[in-house]
Amino acid sequence: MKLATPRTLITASMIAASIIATIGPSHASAASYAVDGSHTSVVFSISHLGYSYTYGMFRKNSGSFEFDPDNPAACAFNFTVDVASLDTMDPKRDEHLRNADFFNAKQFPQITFRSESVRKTTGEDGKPVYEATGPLTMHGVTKQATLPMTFLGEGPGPYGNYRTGFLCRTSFKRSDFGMNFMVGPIGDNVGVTISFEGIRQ
Amino acid sequence: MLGPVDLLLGGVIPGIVALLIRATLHRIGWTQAAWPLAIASGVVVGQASLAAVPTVAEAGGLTAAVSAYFAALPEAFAAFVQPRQASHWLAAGTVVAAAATLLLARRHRVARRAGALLGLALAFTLPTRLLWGSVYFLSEWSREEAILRVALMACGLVALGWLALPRVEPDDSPTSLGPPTTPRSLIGPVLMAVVALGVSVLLATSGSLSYAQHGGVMLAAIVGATLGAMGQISYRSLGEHAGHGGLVVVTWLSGLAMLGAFYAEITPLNVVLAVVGLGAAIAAGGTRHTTWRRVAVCSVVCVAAVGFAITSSGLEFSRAIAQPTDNPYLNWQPPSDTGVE
Repeated sequence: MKLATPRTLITASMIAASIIATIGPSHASAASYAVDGSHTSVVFSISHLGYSYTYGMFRKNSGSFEFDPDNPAACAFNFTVDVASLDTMDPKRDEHLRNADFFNAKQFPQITFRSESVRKTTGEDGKPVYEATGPLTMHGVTKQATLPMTFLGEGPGPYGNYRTGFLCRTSFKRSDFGMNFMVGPIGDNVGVTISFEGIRQ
Repeated sequence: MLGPVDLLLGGVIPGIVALLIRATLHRIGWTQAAWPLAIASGVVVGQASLAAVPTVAEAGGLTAAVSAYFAALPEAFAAFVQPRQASHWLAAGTVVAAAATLLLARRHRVARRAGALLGLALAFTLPTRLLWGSVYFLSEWSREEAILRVALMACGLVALGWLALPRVEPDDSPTSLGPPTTPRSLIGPVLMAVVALGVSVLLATSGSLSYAQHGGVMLAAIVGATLGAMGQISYRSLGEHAGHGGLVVVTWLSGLAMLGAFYAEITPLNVVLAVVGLGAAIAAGGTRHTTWRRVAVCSVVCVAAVGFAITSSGLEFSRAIAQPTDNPYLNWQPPSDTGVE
């Protein structure tokens, strides 16, 4: 029997590796989008002493998503938020929020989310909702989170590029992410609204 | 800002733990380990207890609060094994510092060398771990700059650690009775407590009350460990009076100062003053043979350095919060590119 030469084995291994690489989570049928930072808002709200809600936003964010409206398995959402871009319209408060008592922006400069699975449902208003589940990392803590992405619309933009937009409204406990300072006077539950548009690549 | 639960869990509990451990170790004759183990145990338990504050504060009634406290402890201690935040590394550093102190306080040359190596490794590892994953290592500093800065911090830690080395004295012997706690033996711990208080105030007035609580934990541990030996006649063990758990205190407070400088807003000058104060406190503690003149000079330097630092930080803090708040548009600034005025 003739034995395979090392060169033949290497070639066969490379072909096998290429085949294996194409199996698994495939987004081949989905369109790729880059998040348009100019038309994306990441807004949060938190209770102050139980008397009011303070709102803030992160001015810098980036991300991408794969989207096929009829094939949620092919969808994927990735976001990165620059923590230092936090803005609550009060510089002194922003400084404190960026410090070690809260976000600790210099130690944990980014908030990231990367979906691992997406499930399609229908919202109360009849709009399709894509529930993206995956690791959400904030303040050095990674937890599985499900973000409901309500599909708002899609179509050509004014400059010809094709756009798709979503709205995500959710909430979580900051203490789950190790942000325990002054829980009580400053609420534990944080409301988050993310409205974003992607430009098809 | 800080409530009774914070004071109980971050102050009373670490103090009691340090007191009990020092008193117990003295009573069973293991005086060599009393200082470092009492302080290390106090601060580690204190830091874990601080993590339990939110759940204890929300619990209704004493029984529920006690249950909530003990329920929260395992997760808090687990965070020290798998640290997620830089401050969690302080606990690990403290344990290593206590181990190094115990090795350095022995007469055996191999043990002392092992202790010195452990201390050196800690001096270089601590700043690296505290800054790992931060913007400084990721983007703000070049590789060369990062290496230089870490090396400088490590040299500072080595210098402080050298001052705090438990030294073997000629009359140290496991069979020679030492005096009960004397005013002289209290100088070192009292000055270290002053520095711990000073670092806490610096952190509180520089943007991080949570780090300030960690300084309070060290203050409580020093006070508890000091009270734990009050009135006890002990055998003079190697390094018993010289050490004062100095390496543990240096590790914790220097680590906190670094956290304050890099993740809060402590100014470089105030960090230097705090470090000078800590060095002077350790030098003032000295040994039984340290002259009173040296003790006096070191004490003055310690109090002056810490006092100047907290005064300047406090004044800056007062200025910052004294801004008028009756104008709701005070902080609004027109975008520069719109020409709005």
